Amino acid sequence: MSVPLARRQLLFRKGRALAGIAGIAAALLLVLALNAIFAGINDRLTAYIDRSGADVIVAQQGVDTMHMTQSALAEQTATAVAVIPGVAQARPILYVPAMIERGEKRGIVYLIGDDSGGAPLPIAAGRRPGLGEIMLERTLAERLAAPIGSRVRAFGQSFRVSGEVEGLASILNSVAFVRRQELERVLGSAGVVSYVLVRAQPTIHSPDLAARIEASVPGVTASTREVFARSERRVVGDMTTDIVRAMILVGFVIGVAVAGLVAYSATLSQLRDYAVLRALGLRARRALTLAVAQIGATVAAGFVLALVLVWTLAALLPRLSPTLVLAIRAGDVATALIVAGAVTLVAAALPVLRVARVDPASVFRR
Amino acid sequence: MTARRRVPIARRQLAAEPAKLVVTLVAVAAAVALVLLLSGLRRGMGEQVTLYLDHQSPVLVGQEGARNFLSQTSVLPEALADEIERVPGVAEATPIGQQYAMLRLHRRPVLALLIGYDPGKPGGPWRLASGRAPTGRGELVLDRVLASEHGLEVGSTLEYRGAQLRIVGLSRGTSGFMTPLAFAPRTTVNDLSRQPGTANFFLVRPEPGIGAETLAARIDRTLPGVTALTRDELAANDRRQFIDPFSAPLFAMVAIAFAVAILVIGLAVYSSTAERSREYATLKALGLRRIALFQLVGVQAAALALGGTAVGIVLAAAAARGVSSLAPKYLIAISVGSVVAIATSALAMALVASFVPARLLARLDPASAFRR
Amino acid sequence: MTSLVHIHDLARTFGEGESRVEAVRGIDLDLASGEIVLVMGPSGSGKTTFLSMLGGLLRVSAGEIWINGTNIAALGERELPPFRARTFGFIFQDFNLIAALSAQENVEVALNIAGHSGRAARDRAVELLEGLGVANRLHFPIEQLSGGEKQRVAIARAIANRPALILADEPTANLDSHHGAETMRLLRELAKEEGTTVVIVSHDERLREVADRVLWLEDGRFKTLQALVRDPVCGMLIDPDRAPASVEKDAKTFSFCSLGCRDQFLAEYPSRVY
Repeated sequence: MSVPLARRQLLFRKGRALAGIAGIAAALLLVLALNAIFAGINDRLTAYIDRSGADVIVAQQGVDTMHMTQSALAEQTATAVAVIPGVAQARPILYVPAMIERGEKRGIVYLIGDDSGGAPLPIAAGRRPGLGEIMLERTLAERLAAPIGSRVRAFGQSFRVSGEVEGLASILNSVAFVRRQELERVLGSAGVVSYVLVRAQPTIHSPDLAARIEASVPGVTASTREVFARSERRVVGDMTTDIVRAMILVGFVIGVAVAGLVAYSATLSQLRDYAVLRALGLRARRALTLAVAQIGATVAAGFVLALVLVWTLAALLPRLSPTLVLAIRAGDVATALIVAGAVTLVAAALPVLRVARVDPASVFRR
Repeated sequence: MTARRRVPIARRQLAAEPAKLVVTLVAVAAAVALVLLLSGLRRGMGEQVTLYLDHQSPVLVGQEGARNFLSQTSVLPEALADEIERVPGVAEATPIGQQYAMLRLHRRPVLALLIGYDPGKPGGPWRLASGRAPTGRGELVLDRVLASEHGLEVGSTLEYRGAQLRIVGLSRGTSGFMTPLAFAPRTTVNDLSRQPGTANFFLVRPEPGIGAETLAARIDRTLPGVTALTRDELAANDRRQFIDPFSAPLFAMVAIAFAVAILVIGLAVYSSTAERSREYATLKALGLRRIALFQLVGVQAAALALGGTAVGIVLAAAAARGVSSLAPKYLIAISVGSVVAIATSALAMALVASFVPARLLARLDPASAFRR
Repeated sequence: MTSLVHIHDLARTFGEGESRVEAVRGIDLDLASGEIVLVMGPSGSGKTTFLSMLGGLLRVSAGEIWINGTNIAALGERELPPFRARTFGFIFQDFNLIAALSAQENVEVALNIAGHSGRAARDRAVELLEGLGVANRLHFPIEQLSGGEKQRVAIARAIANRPALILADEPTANLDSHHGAETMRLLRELAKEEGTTVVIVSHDERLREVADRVLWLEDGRFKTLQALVRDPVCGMLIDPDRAPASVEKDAKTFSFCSLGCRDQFLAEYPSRVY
């Protein structure tokens, strides 16, 4: 067919077509945005571990997560691990949730006690903390109005802000760095560390080193960085599965409703056109294809618009709320695509049924 | 004098296409229900988060600088209990331990809030569904819902931080989406943390006649190195700390849901108006004023908005109830305030949605009634 | 008969420059109460434009339209709708009934628009529909009515507010001959018994039988065609321009179908009054 019938019919009523596309885009956006928010949290969750330079993380037995987790090892564990062949460096850290205060403003962080001051994590500004000093995540520093050189309180003690790091905060939590021995003193927990971060020598694979550490040192669990990160992500993933599923259902229902509305009014106003085309000789199957093509085109356009919108949100939202970071994953886009496909199938049922019953002889009726 | 009936054109037009009406209402209802459920979930999380505190004494003492019960570290020597009890007005001070416990169940990390308390003293489970309270080392009482979700029962063991903990009882009323409760002897919890002789907080029971705030202030003044707070203040801080982070994402989802509702109503009213343009031109020709025409459109939009909102509210209430019986760890607490807010915004929805169809009508030429 | 409608120098142009079209140019016309005027002409001659202006649906480019002492060309946007509701009854070629309303409600809504509501409006609607013979279809949706029934509902709507002027656009085009004749009869009754002025735009030659005057609109200007007259003796309709015989008596002109009728007339006049 040289005349693009479906396109002409669809665009004949521009207003309706646009509203339909927008409505479907909004429905799909619900799914995409929610997934992107959770994925964003997940990314930031493992940001510290990913950039800490650790190949293996040694924790108390049975522990392979950091957030919302308690882990306690004897300080000697670090020395015990350090001498294991294949270990290039074994750095003990303390990792405790803490409240950072400045005046009336407060923020929750995971306070990392690390004598290297967070190395090799890149710093965004200033320098790593010395004694009596603290390094804050940039978004927290801004929220507390605590620039470098100002003072904040934690555990009733005053710390001077020495520097800032970036990209480690999610909407749920932030991080800050102090000297380990200082934190030990403040907590009154001498001789206890939370984790040991291990850098492997180039000659050994991380999984092998982890196994070796577990075999050599009692009462610990050693995980490669990948395993550790995966475990961390699973916590948020498991917690949010139900919500995501519910959102997919809602998005589907709304998508079907919008596509259905468009299909309904489009078909209604075009029934006479179909009768005329059939009278002119158009095959029944072709007429059906026309009807379905219009719905399919509307949903497809809505899907594309939803992608554009979620990308826009990903760019805009962090400006409003710096820790609200969206991560758009291929898997989530695929989910939205499946929802869109399902919507098309269901919404196309109505026009298919009506167009199939069109009687070409009706062209002569009033 | 009875009201003088006029032909209800808007109502007739809405009812003339029942399928379209139903579909529009369903879409609006889904969007409204979504908003109520999401905000209800957030509110419910806030209520669950303070579940433990709500059952404890009115004053708590923590490490200096402590403002929250959860989400921060507070460590004090357990011997401090005696010093606290010496403060006038304090009837009893009980040490407790609290920590987030990332349990490993079926090879998956499952979060719980572990409370370490001294058996026989305050701070333990307030209601048991089965079994008994822990008395010896390594014994654990677990939330009933959490246990059933993972196939655990009285007698099961689970490994936590290298230790084997045996479930001796299941507690009731301790369920939570992020913070279901677990109870163990404080000594066990301290051993796992390698912090013997410590407590995270002290539960302080005031003597009769003294108010919580007064006692807290007094303890603050008297003892160095601690912060004393009322239970209510701690709970409020915890609640805020938990739900504040979700404000921005919730706002984003609510905004999208609203956009959906407005689009759906606008689409329904616009397509009706466009399809009936000949009829509207005729009405204009017959002398129907502009205002009356706008009213027609506005009434249809308002009916769809309010109707959809009403159905959405009912849907949300039913879903909340359904969720709490099928998945008790979720608490969806829909507040009256949010219902009122949504009902009010239904009218705003209708107004915005009528804008384009009204413009269409305004530009409609009554002479077009004559055209073929 | 008094002059209900006085049109002076009415004109309407569309477009500008090269695409400028003068649909109606400088029309003068007077219509009396109870007069039936048929406007005919080639397609695109401006008939619908004229009708739209007369009914206050289209703005004039120049000129005046006086109806019952009001120049509707000078009325503002706010004043026109209520004036239309009170003054005009419209009959459309495609009936233009409201699909979502029943037959009765379609008539009732016109009454509502003119300011009448409640029982009074409902009763009048029922009365009109009964008078037109569609009493058994009062609550039926419009889709279920036949063409003839729809036309009668449309007519009932048009006369519900007792308008001074009925404007009909191709009222018989979508009807079979039986219903077409029916409609013609109704229109004639309205004019003669109620004193309603009826302006009809149509191609249908049969309507010449009911018209008092036939106007031909071509290139935006009127040419009066003679209306058909009746032979006073045998009652047959004759085009006076082509009558075989005619007689002038007492300042009146009588036309006859044949010499026979003329002779009979002369023999019996003035004893029989026609």
